[in-house]
This record gives sequence, C-alpha cells and structure tokens, in this order.
Amino acid sequence: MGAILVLFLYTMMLMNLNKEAEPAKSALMKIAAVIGGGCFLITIVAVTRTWGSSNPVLMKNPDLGLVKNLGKTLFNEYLLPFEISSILLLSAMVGAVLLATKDKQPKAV
Amino acid sequence: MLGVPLNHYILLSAIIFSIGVIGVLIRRNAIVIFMSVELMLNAVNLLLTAFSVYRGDAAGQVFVFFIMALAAAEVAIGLAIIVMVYRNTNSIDINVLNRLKW
Repeated sequence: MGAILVLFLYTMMLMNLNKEAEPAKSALMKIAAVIGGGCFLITIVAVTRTWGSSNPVLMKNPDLGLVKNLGKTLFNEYLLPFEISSILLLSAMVGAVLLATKDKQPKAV
Repeated sequence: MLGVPLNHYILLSAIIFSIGVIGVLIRRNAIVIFMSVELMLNAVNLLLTAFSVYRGDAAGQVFVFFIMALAAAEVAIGLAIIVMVYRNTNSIDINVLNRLKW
C-alpha cells in the first residue's frame, strides 16, 4: 500500500510537471457524471437501508487475523494463486522496465 | 464489546467505491484516474476483510493479499505507460490521446 504510493511519487517526480493547466470538461459532462455516480450511490444506500438492522461484525474466533493462520490458509489452499501471482509480478516488473527505459540508439526508420 | 453492524461496512465501501468511479469518469489527469482506480480496489479490500471476519473465514483476507499484489503490478505497468505517453506528448492530459484515432 505504501509502496504503491511511493511509486506514484517517484513517477510524479520523474515528470517535470510545472503548471497544471487542466482545462475543465464541459459542465454538462460533469453534471452527467455526478448524477450517474449519485444514482449508483443512492441505489446502494437504498438497498442497504431496507435490510433493517443487520448483525454486528463480531470476531468470534480471535485467531482469525493472525499472520500465522493467514499464512497457513495461504500456503495450504491457495498455493496455486500464490505462485501464479509471483509470475504476474515478475512479468509486470519486466514489462515496466521494458516500457520505461529510453532508447539509447536512434530509432530505425 | 459491541461490533459495528455489517450494513455500515457495506455502506462505507459503497461510498468509497462510488467516489472512485466518479473520479475515474470526471478527472482528466491520468495520475488522478489511477488513484481513483486504486480507491475502488481498496474499497473492495475493506469489504472483503469485513465479510471475512463476519463469516469467520480466512479466505477473504487471503484474497485481499492477491488483490493488493495485483494492484501493485497494475500500477507499475500503468505508470510506465503514463511515462511513455508523457515522453511522447509532453502532457498527461488524457484528451491528448484522442490523436490515436488517425
């Protein structure tokens, strides 16, 4: 989480953004977007409000959040997604390095 | 100790998710759009953790691990793309990318 934010900061420092001239979209688009988002929010609020009082989220088993138990679940039942996500991170790293390096030699025309 | 009702978690996660959606649709700065996507992912993380405690199942929190790893990979690639776009067009305004039409 913090690493992702640090990544954002590095990229922003890399680009020399001086004056942000951010021309506004047309007011109609903004109003439409706010109305659309507001409708979505109102829908979800209406759905949850009609459920009455719901059960409180109580931790019945206090060992649930322990790293030991999460690790046991991760390495026993979810071993395949774990290994595949490691390949995913490797490919993302290779792709990011490939995309972001400048071409030293001039492009062949 | 009184627990927070589940509806409150759902409502909070829905509000955060809709703020992320509005941010993606309205803003023109590519980095702000990425931050809104991260906001949506984190809203889902919050809801998954709440349901994991509610059901007493550790699978929800394990899934949050995978979502966070996926978000990190996506941010790395996306920021690399933004850097390339900036290098070519000297702007991170997404309306500049309209030029790809021709």
